[in-house]
Formats: sequence, structure tokens, C-alpha cells
Amino acid sequence: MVHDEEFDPFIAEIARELKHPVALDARFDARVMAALEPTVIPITVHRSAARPWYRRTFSFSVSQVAGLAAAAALVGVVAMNVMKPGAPAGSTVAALPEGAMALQPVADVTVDENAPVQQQFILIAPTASSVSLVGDFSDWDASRLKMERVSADGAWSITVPLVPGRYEYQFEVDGKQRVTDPTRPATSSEFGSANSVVTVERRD
Amino acid sequence: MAISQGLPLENDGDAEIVAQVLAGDTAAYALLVGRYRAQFARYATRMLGNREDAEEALQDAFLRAYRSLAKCEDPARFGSWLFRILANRCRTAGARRGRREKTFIRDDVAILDASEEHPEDRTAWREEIQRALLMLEEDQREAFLLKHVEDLGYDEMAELTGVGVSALKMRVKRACERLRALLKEVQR
Repeated sequence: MVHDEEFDPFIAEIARELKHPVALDARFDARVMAALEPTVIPITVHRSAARPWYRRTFSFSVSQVAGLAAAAALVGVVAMNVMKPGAPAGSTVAALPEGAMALQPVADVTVDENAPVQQQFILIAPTASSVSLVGDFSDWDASRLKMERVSADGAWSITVPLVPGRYEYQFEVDGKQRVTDPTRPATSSEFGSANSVVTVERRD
Repeated sequence: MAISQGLPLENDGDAEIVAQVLAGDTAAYALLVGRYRAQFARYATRMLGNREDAEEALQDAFLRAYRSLAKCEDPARFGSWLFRILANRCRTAGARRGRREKTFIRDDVAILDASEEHPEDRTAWREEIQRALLMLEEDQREAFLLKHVEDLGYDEMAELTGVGVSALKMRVKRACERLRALLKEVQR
């Protein structure tokens, strides 16, 4: 019979040293999220000729994020296309890959290609006190799309209805620092700086 | 630098997040990654001895958990389930590395932990501790970390590892004896 060991200051000191946190690569979260397989196969539809306000393109000059290194707590960024319950009727053409987790019925109905898709953006920024989503869908106005801190771990989230199409965006942290999304392709603006690009597709 | 507390094996809202992910909201998985990343990274790094292997093991554990999420029987205890996946992954990685060579060089762990608060001798001491830790039998190292670093009780350890409490106590005892012997020698 082994009894619980008594307090040993030497072992306690060893344990204390080993309890210090270790840092992961700043893009760890983004790498994990980028490696996740989609749960359904997205169906690509043609863009509408109409261009509503959230489809207008707008280039924005963004200085490279010098503070990114300083903001070591800025762990990663992901943006995912999600279809929420209550999405427009008549918009489901679902194709489930083998073994997919999503339990949605396969249907064959008319696609309303102009119906907005709920697009969620998530930023992991534990030390941020405010985060906004800025993009060509909001005229790059940081006051329009304030993100909500959704966990104590520093995850900020916002879900925006977007018509299928291609959009450029960034995140604005603490009202001053703009960062791109390392998990998404980036494009150069006419001023030479990069924005993240998300292509919103119908998926049902 | 603040010292992290023990493993957060249960967190409010895990079941809801798991349900969201299973309903197709893949992005919600980022919340679980953010929630468990830090503590599990420490465990993996201490078990494997370097950040590269630890990150690989941790990323693999998160991906395996995601792919098998529908099989998570108690989503409210997602953290425990994920940890079991990680612990298995660390054992596999440890066995693989053992077949190669025992390497612990003055790099990741010590340097990552280093800061202005910890001058060189502190870093060297921490490096010696990690080196000694890696000289333990793997099952002893695991038991020691769970008990003394992650502050788990023996019942929790038994649940996580599938090993009986008596055997775990023996492993911890032997780990302590071995560490004491290895590190006292360094101190002399």
C-alpha cells in the first residue's frame, strides 16, 4: 500500500518551476482551425448582377501591423462560413460528404443565390479590450461591426449576413491596430497593403 | 509571470459549444481550442520536452477530437475527453522519440520560459528539471505531471489514464524519488 506522499519542499519547488506556462506559436489556433474539414460540401453559385451595399469593393490602406509581435496574446484568427437556423427558405441544396458530422437532410430545391449567408468571424485576442470587423461589406467603418467577446479565453465573434461573393476584411483591435487573417488568402490593395479575403458561398 | 493552475477539465458551456459544432458551426470549435490550448500545451511540452513535438501532439489531439466529436459521450466534460486523446498522443510520440534518441537540448522549454524575472541560473535550473523529467519512465513522468504540476487528485488521474489509484501512487512515489536523486546530484 502506497500512502499519499507528505509535503516535500524539494518536490514542491520542482513542481512550481514546471507550472510556468509555455508559449505556443502565435498561429497555433489558426492552424488548427484551418485544418478542420468542412462538415458539408459548399455549393458555389453564380453571383448576382445586383451589387448591394455590402458587396461594393473598397480598397483600404493598412499599415503593416508593427504591433503584432507586441500583441503576443493575439493568438490567431479564423473566419468560417456558417449557416444558421432560420436561414432564408428555399436555399438548401445540401450534399453531405461521407462521414460528415452535419445531420442535415439532402434536399433539392431552388437556390436563392442572393439570399445572405450567415458568415461568422472569430478572432482570438485575449488581451484586447475591443475588436471590430472592418471590410468592404461595411465600408471599412469600425463603428459598424463591433465584435463580442464570447469567452474568457479571449475569443471575439461576430456573425454577419453576406450575399455569396468575395470580400476583403481585417480586424481592428483596440481601435488602433488592424490585423489580417492568417488563415485566409490575402490580397494587396492599390496602396500595396494586404487585406484578408473570404469567399462566401452558399452551403445548406 | 503568473503560474497557471491545474488542468481545466470541465468548463461551463462546453456541452453547448460541442452541440454548436456538431450542428455545423465549425467556427465554434475555436472557442474550445482557445479554452484548452494553454494548459494542455504545458502538459504536452513537459511530457515531450520540446515545443515542436508538443504543438504537433496538441494539434493532432484537437483534430482527432473534432473528427470524433459525435462520439464524445459527455460533452460537458469535453476537456477530460480531449485530455485523454492528448495523453495517448503524447505516449505515442514519446515512444517514437524513444526509438530515435533521447534529445533535450538547451532550446525550447527553457528559453520559452525565460524572462527578465528569471536570470540565467534560473533558466539553467529549470532546464535541469526538464532534463531530469525526461529521464523518468514515461508512465512515471505522466503520473508526476498530473499529480504535482496539474494538481489532479488520484481519482481524476485514474479516470484520465485508466490506471488504478495504487499503481498511480507508486508511479508518483518512484518519480519523486528519481527526480530527487537526479536533481540533488545537480545541486551538489
